[in-house]
Amino acid sequence: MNMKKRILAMLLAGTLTLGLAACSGSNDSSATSASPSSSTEPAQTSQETEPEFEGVKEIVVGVGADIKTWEPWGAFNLARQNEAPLVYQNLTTDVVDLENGTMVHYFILAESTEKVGDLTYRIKLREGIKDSAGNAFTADDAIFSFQKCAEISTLTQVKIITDLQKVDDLTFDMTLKYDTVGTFYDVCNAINMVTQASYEASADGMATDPVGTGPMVLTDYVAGSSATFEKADSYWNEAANESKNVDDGYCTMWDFTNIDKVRYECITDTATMAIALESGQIDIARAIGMDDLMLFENNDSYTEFGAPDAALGVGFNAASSSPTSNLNLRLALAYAINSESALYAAVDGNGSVAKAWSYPTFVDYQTAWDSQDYFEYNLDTAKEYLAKWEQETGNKASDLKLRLILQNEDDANAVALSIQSDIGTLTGNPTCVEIIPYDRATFTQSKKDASTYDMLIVDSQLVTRSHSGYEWDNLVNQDKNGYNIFHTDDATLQEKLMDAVQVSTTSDATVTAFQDYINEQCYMKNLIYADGYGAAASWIGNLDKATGAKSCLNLGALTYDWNASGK
Amino acid sequence: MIIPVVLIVAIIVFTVMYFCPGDPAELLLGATASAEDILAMREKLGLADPYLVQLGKFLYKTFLHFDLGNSYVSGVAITKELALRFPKTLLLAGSAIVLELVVGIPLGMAAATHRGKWLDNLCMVLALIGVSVPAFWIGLQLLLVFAQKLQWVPAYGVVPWTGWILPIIVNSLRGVAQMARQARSSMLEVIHSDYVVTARSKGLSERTILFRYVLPNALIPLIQVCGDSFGSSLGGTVVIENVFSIPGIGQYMVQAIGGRDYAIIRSTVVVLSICFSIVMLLVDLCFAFVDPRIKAQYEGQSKRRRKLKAQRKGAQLHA
Repeated sequence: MNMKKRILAMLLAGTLTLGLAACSGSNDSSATSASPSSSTEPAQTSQETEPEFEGVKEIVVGVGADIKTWEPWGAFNLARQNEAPLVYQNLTTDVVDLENGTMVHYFILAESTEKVGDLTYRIKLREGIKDSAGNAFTADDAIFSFQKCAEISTLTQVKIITDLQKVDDLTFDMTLKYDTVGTFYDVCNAINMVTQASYEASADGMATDPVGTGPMVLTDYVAGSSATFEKADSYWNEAANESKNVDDGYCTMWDFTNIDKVRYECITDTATMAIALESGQIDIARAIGMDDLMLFENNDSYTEFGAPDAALGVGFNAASSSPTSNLNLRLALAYAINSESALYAAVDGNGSVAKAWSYPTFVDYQTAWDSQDYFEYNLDTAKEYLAKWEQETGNKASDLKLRLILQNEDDANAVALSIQSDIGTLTGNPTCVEIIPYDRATFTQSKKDASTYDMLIVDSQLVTRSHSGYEWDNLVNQDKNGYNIFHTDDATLQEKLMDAVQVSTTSDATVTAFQDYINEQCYMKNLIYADGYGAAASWIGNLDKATGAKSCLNLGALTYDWNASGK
Repeated sequence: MIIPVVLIVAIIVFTVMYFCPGDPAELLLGATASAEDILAMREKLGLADPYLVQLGKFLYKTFLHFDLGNSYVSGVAITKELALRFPKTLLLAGSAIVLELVVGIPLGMAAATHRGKWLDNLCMVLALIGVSVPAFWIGLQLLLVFAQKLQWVPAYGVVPWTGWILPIIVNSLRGVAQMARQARSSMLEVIHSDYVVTARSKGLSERTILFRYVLPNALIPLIQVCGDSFGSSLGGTVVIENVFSIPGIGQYMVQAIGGRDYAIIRSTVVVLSICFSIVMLLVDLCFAFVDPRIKAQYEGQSKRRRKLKAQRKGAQLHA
């Protein structure tokens, strides 16, 4: 019996030790003796005194997905967003400057763009552009890229081009089907450019052997596992590496890199990604889960970096079949939902509370919105509107049942729970809101069906956007989409939307008028701006500077500090 | 039986995917797609055809031309991807089975031969932990200790080879536990058989009794467990490959499910079902080899057949 007890005690002690060893924090940098961070001094302070690093400047970045194909016009995913820009370039790009919170429009392969007709733009290319195979990039190649993309790709941006006409070797005209804000630049920003000669020389449409005009070339790719890039022998815009003058129009996404080699490792689990960073196997973790972020916060061995990731809001179904067709109920709900709570629930406070259905870095964001009264959380006001709704309809708040649909993501789920709690407090019925999480496909379909929800979480991905009008157009334009997410047959809404989003009519006044109308009708309450976080070993001394100024978070192509011992 | 089983699996998975809400074409094109674009994409992917036409095409291409098609999302040939990924998944599942046999059976034997003693209790507690603890959790804990703290193995991937150690251990844990429990109960059943008592009364050593009389008879149900475990191990790779970032079929399937890449989901399920069916066939053959009763039944059948054939031949000659 004693023996049994001893064995059991030893077993339990062993388990406890293992658990404690595994779960204890990693703040003690000495524990990670083999990590690059512990073997080198912080680079920032010693940079000036130490000799220039002369070895291969290599970094390893962990990303949560695999690109799957290197075709220039493959479907967008996290890996493509990170890796493809090292090889392929676009005509232009929009990058958020986090220093002053504005959107910076860069010309890359294009030297200039000019509107020459109602729906026609003239694009002039830079001189001397060559791809990594040495083929010159001309207007013919740009037209070929757009046409080939339209023929084989799923990218919808290119579908709005109706005509492409060559003007001369470096100039061509592009005519669009319609011209709403951000549409032209979305086309220019999204479609990768290749030379016809290189594309046709590839046996598989560059699926395995990408050749672009970017500063790096793919040297090794293991499907589902890793992709390695090395500096191209001759990059057409090498001069930019020397001048480093952003104001000349050079883009951080390509022209400022000072690394020789970058390897992207596909690590699908965020917890594993954090462990890989802590064990020194990767230098930068592109995405860190909120639970793991605390490991790197206030830790000298690591630098954490954040960037705008998503805006989450709640939209109301105003169709007559839904209880939220009543304005007073919508207002009651909007005032009852606490954005602060949602921010802490979703991203542990890492972000900010929204003040409008837009994003502060967007070109058409109005600074006046920062100080507007945007359904500030007020339970008393909410109760007043709820009482009005009860009076108007004869319904009881305690009997109210609302369906809240969302795309099944961690942050959206957390926001939904917060909303459920807030509305439960308002109505006195904790089960008043039924949360219905869907996968992306089902959510996309359900959004179109007014009978499937009363409220929905509107999750706007900010990474690829530059105008709020672009988002509004996609979600509200009844004429274009055949429905709007509020399911309201509201001619005024459509009219104000068109004024706000059409290039010919858009102005601060029309954009403000649309936003005011949305608020007046309370169709939508934007709740939070959530930041996405990554972390890096601290030897990367200027990561803050590199990602903060003219940020693009293209970690494989930034200017890093390299001290004498490198990593 | 393999052919109907795989066919039924293929039909079921196709039907389930067909009736799932959500449109892969719309998902692929994104929020900015127009109705015409979506329609054109549906045509291109063959999603506009009626159910039976789509099913017929899928079965025809898959089973008569061995053409699994291309991924909806990336356009890459699924056969090519599977050829790259399947060996990794097979290695992961196969190694887990070997580990289950090597660890699980001795554990069960030790428990059975020390029934009621501390070794028995220890083995069964370990087995209970193995069955109860979720693979993803134990995987992360082992990563924290062996990859982060001790840095003996990589945190992700299978390069260098040491990257295989933790995934294989984690994938085999449940199987080891099941095998140990089954081995114990089978051994206990056999240990009390008359022929074992007789062997013992004849003065044979415990070691001889255990390895010559007990183990061969206790192995029969373990073969079945082993076959079932292979199925679980294949299924387990879905979780394990994601935790350890191994580019195998499990990871491929999870990514495809998220993106509604029906072509990949259908193909991987069919390939896994073929694989599992083959393993079950091997299990049946092993039964016939190991179990004297089944062996005798087969031998009896073939003897009767030969006798009947000889009789017919004799009758023909006589005529």
